Amino acid sequence: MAVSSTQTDSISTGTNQNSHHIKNRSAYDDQVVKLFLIATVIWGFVGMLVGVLIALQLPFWPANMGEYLTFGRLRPLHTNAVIFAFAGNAIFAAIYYSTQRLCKTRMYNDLMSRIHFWGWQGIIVSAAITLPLGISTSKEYAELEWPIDIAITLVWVVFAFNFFGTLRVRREKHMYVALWFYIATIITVAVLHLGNSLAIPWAAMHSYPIYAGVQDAFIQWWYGHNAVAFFLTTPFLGLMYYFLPKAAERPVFSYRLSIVHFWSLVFIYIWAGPHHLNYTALPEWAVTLGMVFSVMLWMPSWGGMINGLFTLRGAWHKLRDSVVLKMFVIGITFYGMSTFEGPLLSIKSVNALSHYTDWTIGHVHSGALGWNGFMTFGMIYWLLPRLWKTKLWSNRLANAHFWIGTIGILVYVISMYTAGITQGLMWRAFNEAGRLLYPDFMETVIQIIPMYWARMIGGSMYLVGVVLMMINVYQTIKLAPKERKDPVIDLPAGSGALGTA
Amino acid sequence: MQDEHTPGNDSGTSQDQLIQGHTYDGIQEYDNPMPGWWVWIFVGTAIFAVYYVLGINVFGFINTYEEDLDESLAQLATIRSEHAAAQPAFTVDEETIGSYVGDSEKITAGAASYATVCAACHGDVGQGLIGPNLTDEYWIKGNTNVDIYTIITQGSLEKGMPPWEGAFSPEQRAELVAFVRSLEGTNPPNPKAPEGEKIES
Repeated sequence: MAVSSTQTDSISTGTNQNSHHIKNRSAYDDQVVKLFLIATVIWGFVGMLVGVLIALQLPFWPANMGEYLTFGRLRPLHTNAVIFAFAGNAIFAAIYYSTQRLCKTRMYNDLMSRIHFWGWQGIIVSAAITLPLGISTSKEYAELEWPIDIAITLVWVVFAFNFFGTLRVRREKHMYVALWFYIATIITVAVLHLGNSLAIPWAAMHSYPIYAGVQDAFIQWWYGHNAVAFFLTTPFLGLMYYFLPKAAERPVFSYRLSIVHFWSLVFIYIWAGPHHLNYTALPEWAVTLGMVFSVMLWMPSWGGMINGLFTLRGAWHKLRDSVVLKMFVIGITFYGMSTFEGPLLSIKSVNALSHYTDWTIGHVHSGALGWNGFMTFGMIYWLLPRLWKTKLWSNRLANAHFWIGTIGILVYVISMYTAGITQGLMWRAFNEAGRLLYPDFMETVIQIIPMYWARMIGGSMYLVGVVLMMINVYQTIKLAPKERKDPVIDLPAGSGALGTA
Repeated sequence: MQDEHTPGNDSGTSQDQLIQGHTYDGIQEYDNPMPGWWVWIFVGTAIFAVYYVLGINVFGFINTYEEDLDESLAQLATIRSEHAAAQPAFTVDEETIGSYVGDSEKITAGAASYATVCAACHGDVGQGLIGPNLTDEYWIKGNTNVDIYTIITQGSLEKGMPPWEGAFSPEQRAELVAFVRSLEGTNPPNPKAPEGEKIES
């Protein structure tokens, strides 16, 4: 079956009605992808370094230095850096690379691409300055104050305009599943950010949320949970749907599954937030809804895992030689584990044990280090030789990254599971007289300090892996030929007329 | 399963049929059905959701938070009263508690309890921090054995001291009295300024 016969003729810019927006529609803009990729690597290192520091601060208090470098100030810096700077730049790299190729067109507007890139880096830098200074809304994963929130909104609108503009001028009739996930990401993140950040400015760097009390908590966790859903899940599923079949050179397992799991995922995820407020002042009916929707979310999440792993049927032997595929398999496997664990933790009786313990920390890091991290690393190792038109500097170093990173994740999550379950059981232990066995909270903390050291070691191993990747990225870029022409677009047969309306 | 499936050159097996026209930057898609187990677990979780919502909100065969809490508290009360009934009765009077005071075993046991919770507010050697100094001759709530036992048991709402009745048994509270008594006149470093009335013992 000759399905993918392609032509390599370039498109004349003169015939394109949108040419006034775009300098050169005959080539992909890979320069912006390179920028996002390099930013991913740098911010990933910074965010994870701060993570290791705060992991040290818990068992070793003298590591809290001065006013600005204490755990309370640095913890939001760590979460913002790894979510919005590391994972954020990674998904933008994935979106800008794959959207152009799936639409067979250059991004709608080069200037918008640059505003998106530099605007986003500016937001990250302002977060890195304000959070250690203690400027914070105190809303988890939405700590940045109102002027920065407005900047995020503006940059996101530019991104959305650029993305949907690209879809509009596309030269492919159908939109591939990766693009649906990107659309869901862009729309829902906009809704979440606007909804949760509504606040009354009080001073240049201070504001009060328009919601009060339990309503504020409710809207906060509607946002917080869906930040996980639409910033750390849907764009990474889009990434997986593009880069995994590319790297494996295999067709996607099931088109039907991709449709059903996409719609069920985006519909059900948005309801699951209240499970963060189990056993709080939130009315129980709301918690019940959050719990049952979380349970129903299990299979829609696993639909992505199945479509990823089954796409590798008949290609498993390729894992031996491909560090990219190995990383994708670890990433997808951790996605499956954490999306089973999530529904489990949302069940009230399980949550009664796990809530406020390090089990939650273990859970999010199996998703963050395993799924987001390894999907990103796999993509970077796949993109490096292609973007810089050379070969990867060291395959052995990439393999070392794979192993040290994988072992690091295991040390991290196992120590946190042990700490969480230990402390949870100690809190609820009664003696034969019906009195608390450990009435002293401090006793339950001292018990888990060895686990905090183990977590720091696991996190450090993961960080060492990232350093190995930085070396590889730097050396590979040094190998690149000096010529910096963007790649010419390959048009599928007979599709030249599409998308120019 | 054949190993050499490559896009553009794939006749597929009887299961794996490529979808015509679905080629996106070289990526193709199979027309495979959704795995049966996936569909049925998904349906199962949806049935569970309906069952749970009806069970807790309509028919009441699933406990709410309050019902769970009431049941647990009742259970705990039973355990406590059964345990107390099985123990020799503890009479709260000067004589009974007084029998603990000066007993080095009781003082050692009291010191261990003191270190777990009391030291946070009263200081590691009773010198006083947030809570008052326990080593001087000044007392806010009286200084008889029963007075000290009572404040440990009931706490002091206006002074911010929590009640410890739930955490310590009557014997443990009497041991704490013995320990506190043993602190009198120890003159630790950095003592907190006296509070309350001076009562010579």
